[in-house]
Amino acid sequence: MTRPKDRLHKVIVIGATPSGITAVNKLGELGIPVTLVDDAADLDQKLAKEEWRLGSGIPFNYAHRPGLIRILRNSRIRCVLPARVDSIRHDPQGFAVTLTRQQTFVDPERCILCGRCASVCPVDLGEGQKAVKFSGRFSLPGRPVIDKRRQPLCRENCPLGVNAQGYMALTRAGKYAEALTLIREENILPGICGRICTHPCEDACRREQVDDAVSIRAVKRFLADYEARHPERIKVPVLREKRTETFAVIGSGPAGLAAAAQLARFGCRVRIYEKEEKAGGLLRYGIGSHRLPRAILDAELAYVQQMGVEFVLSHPVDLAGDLAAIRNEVDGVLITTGSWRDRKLGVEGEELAGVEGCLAFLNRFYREAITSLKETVAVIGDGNAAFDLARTLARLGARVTLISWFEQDQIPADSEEIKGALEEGVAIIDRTRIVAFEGDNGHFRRLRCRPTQPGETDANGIAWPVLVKDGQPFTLDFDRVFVAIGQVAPELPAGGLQVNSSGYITVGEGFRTNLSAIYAAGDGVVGPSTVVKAMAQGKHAADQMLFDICKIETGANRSRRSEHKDFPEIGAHIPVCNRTPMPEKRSVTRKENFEEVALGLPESDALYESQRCLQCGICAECLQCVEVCQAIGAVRHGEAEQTTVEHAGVVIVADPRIAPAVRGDDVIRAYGSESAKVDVYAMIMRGFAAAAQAMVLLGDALPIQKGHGVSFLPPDPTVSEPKRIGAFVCNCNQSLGWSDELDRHVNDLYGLKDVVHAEVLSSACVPEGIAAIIKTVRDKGINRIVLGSCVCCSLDLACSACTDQRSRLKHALFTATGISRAMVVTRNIRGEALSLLQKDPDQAALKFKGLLVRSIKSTRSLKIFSSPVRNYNFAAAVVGESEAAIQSAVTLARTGMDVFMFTSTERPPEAILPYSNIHCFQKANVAGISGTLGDFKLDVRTADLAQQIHVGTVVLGESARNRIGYARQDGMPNRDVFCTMQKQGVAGIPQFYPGMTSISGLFLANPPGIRISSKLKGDAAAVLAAAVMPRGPRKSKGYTVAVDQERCRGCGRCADVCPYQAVTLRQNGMDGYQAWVDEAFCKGCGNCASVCPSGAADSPYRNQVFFEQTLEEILI
Amino acid sequence: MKATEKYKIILFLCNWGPHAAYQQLQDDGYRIPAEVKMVRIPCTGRISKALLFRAFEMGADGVAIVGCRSGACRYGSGTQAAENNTEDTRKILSLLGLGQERMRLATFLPDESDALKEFLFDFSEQIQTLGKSPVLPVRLQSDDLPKDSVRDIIARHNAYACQDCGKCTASCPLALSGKAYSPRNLVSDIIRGNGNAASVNAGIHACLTCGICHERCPSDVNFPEFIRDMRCLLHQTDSDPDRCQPHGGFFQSLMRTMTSPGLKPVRWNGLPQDIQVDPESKTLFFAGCAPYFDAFFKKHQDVKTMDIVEDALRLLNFFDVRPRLLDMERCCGHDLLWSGDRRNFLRLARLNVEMIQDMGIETVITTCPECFQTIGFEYAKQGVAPGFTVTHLYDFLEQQIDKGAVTFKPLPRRITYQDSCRLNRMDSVRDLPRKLIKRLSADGFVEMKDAGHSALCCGNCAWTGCDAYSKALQVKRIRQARETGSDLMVTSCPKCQIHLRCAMEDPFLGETLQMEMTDLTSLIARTICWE
Repeated sequence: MTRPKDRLHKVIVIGATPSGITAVNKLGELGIPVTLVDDAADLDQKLAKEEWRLGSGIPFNYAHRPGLIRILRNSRIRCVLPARVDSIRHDPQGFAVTLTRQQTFVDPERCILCGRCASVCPVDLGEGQKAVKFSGRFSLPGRPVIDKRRQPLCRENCPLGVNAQGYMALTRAGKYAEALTLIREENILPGICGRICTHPCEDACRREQVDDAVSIRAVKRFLADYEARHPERIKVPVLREKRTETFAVIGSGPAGLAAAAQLARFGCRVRIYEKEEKAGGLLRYGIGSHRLPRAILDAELAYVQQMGVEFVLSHPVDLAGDLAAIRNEVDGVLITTGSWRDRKLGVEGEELAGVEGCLAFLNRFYREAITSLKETVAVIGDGNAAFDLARTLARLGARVTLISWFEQDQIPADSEEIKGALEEGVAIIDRTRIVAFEGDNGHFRRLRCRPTQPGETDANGIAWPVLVKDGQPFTLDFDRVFVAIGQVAPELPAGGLQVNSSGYITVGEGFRTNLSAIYAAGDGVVGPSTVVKAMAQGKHAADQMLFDICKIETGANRSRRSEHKDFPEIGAHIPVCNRTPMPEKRSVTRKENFEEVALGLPESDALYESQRCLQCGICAECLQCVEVCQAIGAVRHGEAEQTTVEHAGVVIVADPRIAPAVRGDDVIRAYGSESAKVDVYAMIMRGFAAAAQAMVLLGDALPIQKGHGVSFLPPDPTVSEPKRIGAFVCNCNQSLGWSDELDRHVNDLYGLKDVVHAEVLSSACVPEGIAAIIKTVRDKGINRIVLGSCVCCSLDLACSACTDQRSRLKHALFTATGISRAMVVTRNIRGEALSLLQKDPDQAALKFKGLLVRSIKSTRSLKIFSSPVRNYNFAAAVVGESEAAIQSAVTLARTGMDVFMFTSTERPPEAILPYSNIHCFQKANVAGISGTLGDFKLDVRTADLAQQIHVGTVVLGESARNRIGYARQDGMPNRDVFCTMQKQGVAGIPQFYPGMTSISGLFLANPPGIRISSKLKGDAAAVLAAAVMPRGPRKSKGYTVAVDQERCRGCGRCADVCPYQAVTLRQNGMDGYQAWVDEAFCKGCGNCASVCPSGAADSPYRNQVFFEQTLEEILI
Repeated sequence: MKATEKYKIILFLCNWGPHAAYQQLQDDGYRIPAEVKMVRIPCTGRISKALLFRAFEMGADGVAIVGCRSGACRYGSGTQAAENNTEDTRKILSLLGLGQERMRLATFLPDESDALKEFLFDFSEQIQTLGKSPVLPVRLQSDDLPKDSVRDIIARHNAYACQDCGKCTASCPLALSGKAYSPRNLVSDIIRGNGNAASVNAGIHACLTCGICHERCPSDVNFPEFIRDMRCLLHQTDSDPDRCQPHGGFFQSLMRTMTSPGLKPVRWNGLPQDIQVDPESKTLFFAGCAPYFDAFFKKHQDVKTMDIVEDALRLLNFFDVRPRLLDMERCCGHDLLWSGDRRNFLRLARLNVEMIQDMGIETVITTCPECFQTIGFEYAKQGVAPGFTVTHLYDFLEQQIDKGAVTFKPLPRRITYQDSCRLNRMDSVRDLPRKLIKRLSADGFVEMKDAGHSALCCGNCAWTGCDAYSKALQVKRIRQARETGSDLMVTSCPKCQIHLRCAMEDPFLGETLQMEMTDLTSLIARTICWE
């Protein structure tokens, strides 16, 4: 790049260190657009570092808080926090910087920092740490950050994607109803799955690494049972708006139920066709009621029905013949008919009477209500179904032997099933394969078997058994045998539906069959699986149908996780706490009946189990925070990481730790060597210097003013008559509580004279709140406003307790809205009254009322703010010829400013020669300086000429600083100019940064005690001098002091006490002097008012009368 | 009402460091003691002594002013200013018997919320240990004063007799300083019924009540008393009667505080050892407000009016009088009456008279012209007749010195004399101080250009109406003094010293306005000796 003109008029600052921050502030003052990037989410905390504490003892974050607030409020400064800088490349306009904004899940533009999200967050990381990191109301930008890691394994492994960590967290917090609601979001059958799910979640649980997996399933069951025991707490499912689409689901098994419920949840009409008398499919006809009591099943079906799903029972659907007719009635059909045919062993004699498939028997059993089977039976198989069958048979009085080809400890069924079966007297013969069924007269009598041994391990780690070579065959005698080795595809009538070679329905992508608008899912498509997988199939199919037919994207608002953020390490401090065993009926009492064996965890154990959860994802996505933030809408779990490429003419690297390597002379580096001792003042100076270098690089694109100019502030709208008072009270999202009494107090304000409006807002500082205020003010012609929120002053001032929210509200309310700061009385109702609401509601209400009534009263004495007009000279003077002074002059000249340079040398310094806008006075003696910013006068003697040079700003070299006296005005004694930084215990020095002095507009080229190069110091002084000049109308401050000319005695105490030289004395008509305050410099401290003997000096905003009245109101 | 709520503590809280800490407490849900009432301020240096004290006048049991540490004040000078203001105010609280422990200045960094919490708790405990303040806010007391009327006031002072000659305005020192102010217009405005006009109101408050107009008035309209009664009337009817009071109304506030009967001032602490008093004496020495003035003005003018009191006592001792002192002496009320607050003036008068009579006092000696005028004459006129006689120290001295056997050490100074308006014009004590001055062995005594009947006022009375014009008047007076060629201005009223010293404080004119001042009492005490 050859010309500065080509550079994009924008700066990117990487690193919110004191250097970065001060650079941004200066660039902001110069009107240059800036993007600030840092990996921290909260500038306040970031800058609270002990090593950055200033000499006054004030931590940098507090000391510089006004600056930080200005950064947030400056529309030209964009803060990308927290973010990662992926790359920095040069491009024709300067740089292209790739940034990735990281997720915080909270929108800082909307957050009101009420803290409710943090208080409801059930995640407990110890020491009060929660997933919602709420660091108080000082955070900048003002919002908490949600710490969310990648998907916890429990959820990732759940086919339905149930948020197990979420309901664990809610259970831990005792929020059982909320926990159950969360489960039902994904799993409509919690009572059933809480009993018979194969719990892949537990298999993946990381707690296993400490002791045992968390009993997730048992907790789920507890929640479902708790609801059943407390029906009054059942939350009726909240359904979405009714839709016109209708759907038919064929088959009421797990897949069908899940699908129907999902369709119903989105407001569609759903009808389930079931061929049996009762719904439930495999849940009813395949699972023993000792595992799944039918009452539970019925209750869950009732819930689905409550959601609006219609069940058409005893209604077999002929997929070949009826499908078209059903299809014509509805918008979509889902086939979830399952896989009902028992798999055959495929050995000789399987057709004998007395050999029966598992499902075939169970169907018969449930339908015909078999109550007794006192025979010796075998169950062939080793899955959960086989054990279930064995235990059912045992209850019917049979002597049951289960035959598995695996070794006993390799049996794939759940260990609790095996244990239960053994306890109930089921014998297990392992390592045995059936090679034939033998019988007499067509009736089964015995099994012919051969021993097995583990074969080679397959890809899944299962060593499928093989026959022992030369193993001796043997026979086992039984009255009956049941083959329970799974199911195969149903025999489907072909019809138009395409099926595959195994007999399963063929579906393409998205569960679509070959027929239009007909979908299929579940075991009938993929073959026998588990309840949870079947449900997942059904639900996903339903999602697809919703998308295809209703155009609903069910996952659209789904929360997102930070996939790059791994789980926290499992801390060594976590104690070993073994899993709670599930209490069960003793075997002696359970064998005779079909009562449920597993009894469920008592509440204490469920809590204990939930507390064992390691909370891998930190944020559990229980969405409690979303609920409490509903009115505000700041919590956004769906926020994505955002990668953008930002272009800028200049890049300032203030923190090399977060900036990727980049070469080039034009990269501005605002940091020192890593080994150097941390010196916050040096960092600040580097920030200034960096801003100066950026200013030079951007060259003539800068809005530098020349010559003279008048800076004035636009007159404030008048506080007009007749009085129309409006009161707006913010309840801060009721985060501190609220009561009808408070509403009443607000309403009572209508009874006061001139009050035309009184209203409670759920939040004043969100765009809706602000818009509502502005609209009401305009509609009702309100000319005096009481704002009861957390805002404590209406002024254009940020003190060290000001917050993002307060300044945001003020900024939006007072910027070009026609509402003037002078019209408003603000009260920190939140801090002074609402904060007491929990602990002392009476006192809070009393204060609340008192503050509001007093505020209404105060509106009667509102005054308009004054509009000072003052003259500015835009030239700069540099006194001295040190390296730093020369650098200042050159840098100022390069930005286009007119510079007068005063040197004691005979010839001008070489470095300034190329700059025509530097006028050098050689062999010049500057004898004295008087005046202030915009209006300095230098008494200069050159050769034999003495003259007074007028400039707007002065940069003093080191020797000049010690030599030249400063007087605020001609004829007054010289004043102390403070040049050193504030220091604990040293009184009298106002706060400013190195390079500045206590006199506005007077700077030092070479401030003492800062160890950075002279060149950088000179640059810093230059940017200070350039930025101090006004670029537009100065804003009305409102708190400045004015002197009553009649009452002023000209004693000069005010001028004496003012550290900012805002007071000058002017001659009056009585041979005396009178004080006059330059409002452009007055910072409103009011120290002059407290020393004024006659009460002439006072701030109209908070004057003596105001304080007296306040005291009287409080005390009497 | 909870037990702690009956206490009231005002917390003046600076916007900067401590406000952040305070807000942290609020955010943390810490329950700030209910008795603590926070008033946010821009800087501790903003809160004048008047505001600090005003809280006590209004019934506060404690005042905490909380700001930034020295070296951490945003504006640099605030902490120092607050230290000065609190130190002075604490001294006054101590003199009043309220106890300086009731006021604390504390400083915190923004991250020191725990320390702030501790401070608030601790201070609140301390206030509860000290108990309720005995000050009963005047506002809470019933107003039993009958309402006056403009017509009555005009009649009482025979203002109808005004001939519109304008001699008053021509002689008024304020008018002569350039202020658009005319006693004649004021009277005629009021007679014409324009009493409510803002200019009239301002005029009533501007008058110095020096009485030079009365001296010149051919119809003998007592303009100062007319003004005084008009002020009293305004005080009853105006919503903000106390505006225009210099020093933030501190002194009026102080005087009103003294009307609380429960208050037990301890003003005589630290009296020098050499002074002898007699608790059985029938003669009482009434000191006036000197210790309060000294505490209030210490920083700015190095005022030492208490020296006058001590010198007066030494003079009494010199002539073998060992007077009794009134421990709980209250202000005589002069300034309250003359700034318009008759109601509270009467309270003070009654309290003083009652106390003095209860002690069985027969004679009260005082050296303060205002105390002399007020207790000696005004009390009776206002219906609180004292059952004792009041003597000015000068009278006593003249009688004693006149007996002979007394002489004065040489005083190598040229003297000029500043008349006190109260002695000079109201009580016609004009020649007595001159007589005493002439007894001194000074190098000379020269009268100022305006002296005696036409003497110029020191520029203020009753802590009201201080402004640019009164300053001009003071400058004029000091110049007159310097023009005499004297090097010592002798005064008879402590307030002449206070006001003229204030005028000498001027960054431009300062050098040309310096002149040493001594009270006549002190001058006599320091040079008198037995022959």
